Amino acid sequence: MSRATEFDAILPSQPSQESPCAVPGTPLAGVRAGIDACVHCGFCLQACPTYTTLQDENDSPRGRILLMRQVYEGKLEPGDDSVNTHISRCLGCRACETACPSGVPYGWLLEATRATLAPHHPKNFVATLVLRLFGHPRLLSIAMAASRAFRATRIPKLLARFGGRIGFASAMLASTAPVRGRRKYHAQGTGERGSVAFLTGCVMEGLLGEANRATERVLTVNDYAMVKAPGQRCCGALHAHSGDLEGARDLARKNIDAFEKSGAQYVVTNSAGCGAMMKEYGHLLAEDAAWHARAAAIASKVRDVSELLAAAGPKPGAPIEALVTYDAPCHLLHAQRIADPPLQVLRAIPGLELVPLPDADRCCGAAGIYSLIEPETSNAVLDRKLDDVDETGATLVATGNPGCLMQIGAGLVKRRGGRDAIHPVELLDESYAARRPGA
Amino acid sequence: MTATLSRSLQQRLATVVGAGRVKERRSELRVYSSDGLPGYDHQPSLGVFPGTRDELLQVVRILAEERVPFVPRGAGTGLSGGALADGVVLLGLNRLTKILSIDADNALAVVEPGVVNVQLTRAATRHGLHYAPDPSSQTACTIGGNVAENAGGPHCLKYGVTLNHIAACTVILPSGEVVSLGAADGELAGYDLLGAFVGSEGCFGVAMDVTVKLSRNPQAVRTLLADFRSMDDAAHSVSAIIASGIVPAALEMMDNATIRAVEASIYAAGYPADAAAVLLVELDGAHAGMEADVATIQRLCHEAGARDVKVARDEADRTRLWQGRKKAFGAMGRISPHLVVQDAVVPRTKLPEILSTIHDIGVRHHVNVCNVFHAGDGNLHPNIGYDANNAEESARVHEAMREIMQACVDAGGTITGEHGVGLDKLEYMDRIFSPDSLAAMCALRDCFDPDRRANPGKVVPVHTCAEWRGAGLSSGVGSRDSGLDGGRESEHAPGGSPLPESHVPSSPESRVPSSQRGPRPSESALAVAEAIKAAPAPLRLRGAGTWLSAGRPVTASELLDLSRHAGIAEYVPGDLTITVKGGTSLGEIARVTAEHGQWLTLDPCGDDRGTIGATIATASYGPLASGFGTPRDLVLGVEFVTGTGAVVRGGGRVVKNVAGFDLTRLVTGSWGTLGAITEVSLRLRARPEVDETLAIALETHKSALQQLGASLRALPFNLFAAELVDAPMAARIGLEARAQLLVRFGGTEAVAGAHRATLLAIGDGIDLPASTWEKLRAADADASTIRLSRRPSEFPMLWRECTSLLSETGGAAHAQPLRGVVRIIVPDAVAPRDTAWLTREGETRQVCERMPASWWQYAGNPPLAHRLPQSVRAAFDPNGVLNPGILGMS
Repeated sequence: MSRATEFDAILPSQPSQESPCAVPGTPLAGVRAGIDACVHCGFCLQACPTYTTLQDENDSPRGRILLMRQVYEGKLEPGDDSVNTHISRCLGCRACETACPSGVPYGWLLEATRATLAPHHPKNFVATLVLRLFGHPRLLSIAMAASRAFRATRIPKLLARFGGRIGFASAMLASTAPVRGRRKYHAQGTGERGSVAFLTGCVMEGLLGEANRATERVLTVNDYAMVKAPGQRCCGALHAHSGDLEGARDLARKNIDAFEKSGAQYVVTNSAGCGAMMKEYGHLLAEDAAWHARAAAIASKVRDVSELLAAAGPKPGAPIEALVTYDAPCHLLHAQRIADPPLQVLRAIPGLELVPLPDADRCCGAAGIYSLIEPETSNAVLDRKLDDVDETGATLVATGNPGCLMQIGAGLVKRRGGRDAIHPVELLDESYAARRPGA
Repeated sequence: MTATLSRSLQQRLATVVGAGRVKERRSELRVYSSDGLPGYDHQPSLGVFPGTRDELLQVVRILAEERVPFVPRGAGTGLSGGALADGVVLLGLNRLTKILSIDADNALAVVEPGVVNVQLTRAATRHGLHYAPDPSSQTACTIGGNVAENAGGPHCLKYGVTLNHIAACTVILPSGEVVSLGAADGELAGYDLLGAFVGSEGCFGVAMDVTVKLSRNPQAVRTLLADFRSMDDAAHSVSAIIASGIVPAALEMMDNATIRAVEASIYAAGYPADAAAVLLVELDGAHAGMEADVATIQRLCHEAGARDVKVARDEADRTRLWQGRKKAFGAMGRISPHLVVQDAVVPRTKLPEILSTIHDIGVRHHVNVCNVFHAGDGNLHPNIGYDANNAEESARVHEAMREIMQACVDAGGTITGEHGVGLDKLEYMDRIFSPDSLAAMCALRDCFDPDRRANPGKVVPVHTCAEWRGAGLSSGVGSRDSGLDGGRESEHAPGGSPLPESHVPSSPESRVPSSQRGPRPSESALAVAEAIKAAPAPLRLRGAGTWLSAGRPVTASELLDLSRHAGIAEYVPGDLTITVKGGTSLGEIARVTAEHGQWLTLDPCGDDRGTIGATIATASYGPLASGFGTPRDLVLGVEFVTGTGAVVRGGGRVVKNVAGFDLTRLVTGSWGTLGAITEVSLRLRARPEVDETLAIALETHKSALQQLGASLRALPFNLFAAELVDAPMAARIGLEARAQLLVRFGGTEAVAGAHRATLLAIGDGIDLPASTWEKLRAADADASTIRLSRRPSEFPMLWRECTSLLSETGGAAHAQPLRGVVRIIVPDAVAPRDTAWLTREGETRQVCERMPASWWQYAGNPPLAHRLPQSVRAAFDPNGVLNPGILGMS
């Protein structure tokens, strides 16, 4: 069952007799039923990284839902600073959703609320810049090329030793450099498992291109037929999470168009955040009569790369001796409810020792562009993650999302403990490469 | 609160906790306007969130200096509106999340109040321990909140509620004074103020740290899911299981509406969606006998009409079954936007009847009642989903709830088993407690919080406190000339003039004449009340008169004979509870219960002529305490007559009860100084098929005793008794004169056989007749008896200390290694100067039971020196009429 139909199924059978909506016509006005599903039990509190870090009920899912309700009912103004602060401070990790017995669609409520509050508050400069950039493919590719060139100078690695935003941003960039040398090989497969169009993604393609090539190869080896989908754009996740729902919808329409034209059976992504967004295109365009059905159809074809690989086995490769731990990207585990497939990918690699990461289901603090906008909270959340990683003794942290790769990667660069973050698919690819010395 | 006061208070608090941790903006306080239920809108005037215990102490002291009312709040998961701070200061404890220490040897942990219940178990897991009380909200709720509410949970059926798992608390009284209640390192004499504090719903102060008892993880666990075509069949299964004598770790029931809500959620557990009801039954303990018990449960369920009974395959399966149950309450949001949850308890034999009544009430009011509850305890949780914005529906729902509550009360139950009274159940309090009982609760609260600033307006209805000023207890310390339980600072102005009548908050109930409400006093109580009121001089309370030499000398010329008030008041064997008059002998209780294969697991030193009233009043226990606890763990409710002749009831007749302040624990062990006990309700157990006693030979050098302690603690089953006797004691009870361990154990034939084999691994053993225990209990005749105690891990030192002492004075000793208690029996002929050892300072705690009068000036339990116990005494017996002197004060 897709998330969208699941949501329809869990809505209270008798929605509240509408108390008048104080913010008619806003996205928040449309999610009353979702707010009503919260019975205030508090089971989400300990699942929430911002609550356990900041210890403030206003920074908990239950508290934020209550703030949403208050804005809906007009008891608090959408222009209220503290409301905006606490809603902004949410990581959007949606760990509360997998803790919620009542099925509150928190991620959707958050997007609707941010979109409703946005016009009442000054825009964050960094956020605006980043979103603009991601909306323009040409600008984006120039920026990414420049970043790669800068990364090659090794200056970021030096700057990473400094504190503050510059230091952290440099560490993020430095962490995207390929961590393991590998041999290229010619991937071959039957293609009988179906045709796959690949959403290459902005950051993945721009800074983590090796992981993208690895993704194409391992899918091919596992008998998927890769097809092109020209015209694809940013998935729109960053826009939707920041309250720019219209920007997200524009991008979604372009992607729907591109992937329809590809004619592929599946749309695959190796970025958990992009996958979560695309699987919810139906919801995003629910009010757009011309696009809703098309959006839902594409959404139903979206798969995380680990899902496709797990369905295929995946085929085993050659041994890699490494101690690896796995951190679950929130948008894979909580938003898409994908828990085991990435582990199946890693288990397909002989010799690889997988050690469990304590609280692997807790956010690392990346959350899209959150680490740039709320650096303090983000760092506090990250520190707990890094401590847990240290405890495992693993040299590699596998995680399938660019935000997490860069956040954890940057943290590891700064700690200089000789550990690295890596996409699980890259390890499988390395294992396949080792299997084919002659290729 | 005036604007200026508010600002200066805010500034003072901010200097302690930091500006960001004092919240005064309306928009940031909205999130505290409700706790674990939606639909409330009670906003605090200020929120303060200390991050350390030191900050907490400073905050409470500032609030005391400013005389500001406050409401403590943990995680805000309570289901009775107990943490709502309407217009007063909210004191958040959620940032105090440190686990301060874990003492694995003694299975104790010291934690800050904001530690989340499940985090404690997580931290204890590496020691093979867990924290047993497991409210369904355990992933979110805090230990401080659990203590405040005396929280329960599914596994409380076997392991007891929070009260049974708290060893001590450091409490900040609302005045800012810090007091230690209870002790983790031995026994205390004096009032059980810890027992009174647990479950006081934030009205008695704030726990700064809590010492909890941890439990050993069971060797084996089996979880069964039985599904039924009708609620009635499921309810009858519950009765059959309880009556079988098997004590499941948990026994939970869910009806179809609940099953469907859970199955639609992320916690879907695989419950059959077409079942009318499911039972979740968990068995735990030793491997031995486990499969036989599983088979018995399966058979009983099938006999009652179960369609299917399956056993969880593995840990993952078991976890899934439990997650479904524990998250069921949260899943109710799928049914409707708002929810009322009740928490009534009924005698277990009444379950089928009450469930059908609840169904009928739902039908009559056109509301959907969902049931998900602790069936084994008879603790119901009828939930009704509704829409609070629909006034007509809300009215129907609340009327239905009132009728359900009344039906439970009429069935002999109580209004809350684990959620607390809070704000939600205030209106029901006078259905189960008389005005005098409510007044007594007010009086107790005033001992802890004379200004009534802590959690104002909760637990006890306002009007009863107002009335109490003119009622029987009025001459006690509770007599006050200002301040009502209103909840607004203006009403708490220190030294202020009494409020104008119009300011007294009133509810519809307060207009009902209170004389028409609450249960009636027993005939015995009325007679005792008459006698107390008519007494010309202080009274010496007397039961069977077998232990009159115990305690400090009493300065009373008149005797009040309570033994005349004897007899069984109510005994329904299927409920495994009994209510008896205070003068009933232990022998009589044993005889009556034995006819139904049951027993009261209380065998105080002395003999069976002793009365239950005296046993409870003195908190006396015997060998069975190692296995089943002391009187405070077994008493469900008491009726007693205070020093002013007021007839007061605490607790009730059902096995789980958190309605009102805990007068039951208060009176237990109070040696008659707070009231004469006229009726007692007790928890019973099914007698085991086989009940055996072994004497195990052992060495008593230190390392051998250490080894013994470790072996006993590691046993995967519960011994009924484990008593170490020294050589003189062994001789007195007719055994070979050397130190040995007496163990009592049993169960079914097979289980007892397995246990025997395990025990014989400790040392060589010989079988003894059950009469050995009678001899042990009676072995102290005409001698002084003193109990010495330490942490169980220090038992070897304690035992050595005691035996070397006895080698000088002569006498004998017996001990409970599992509890860390040694009881020494010293000849009265020992000269007082030779008792100097009694007064020494040290690690060892002592409770003097019985000594020659002349000894007490040299030694003995410290008189109740603190203001707190003294004010309790003065509240219940202001004129010092009852047993004056027995606890060292008049």
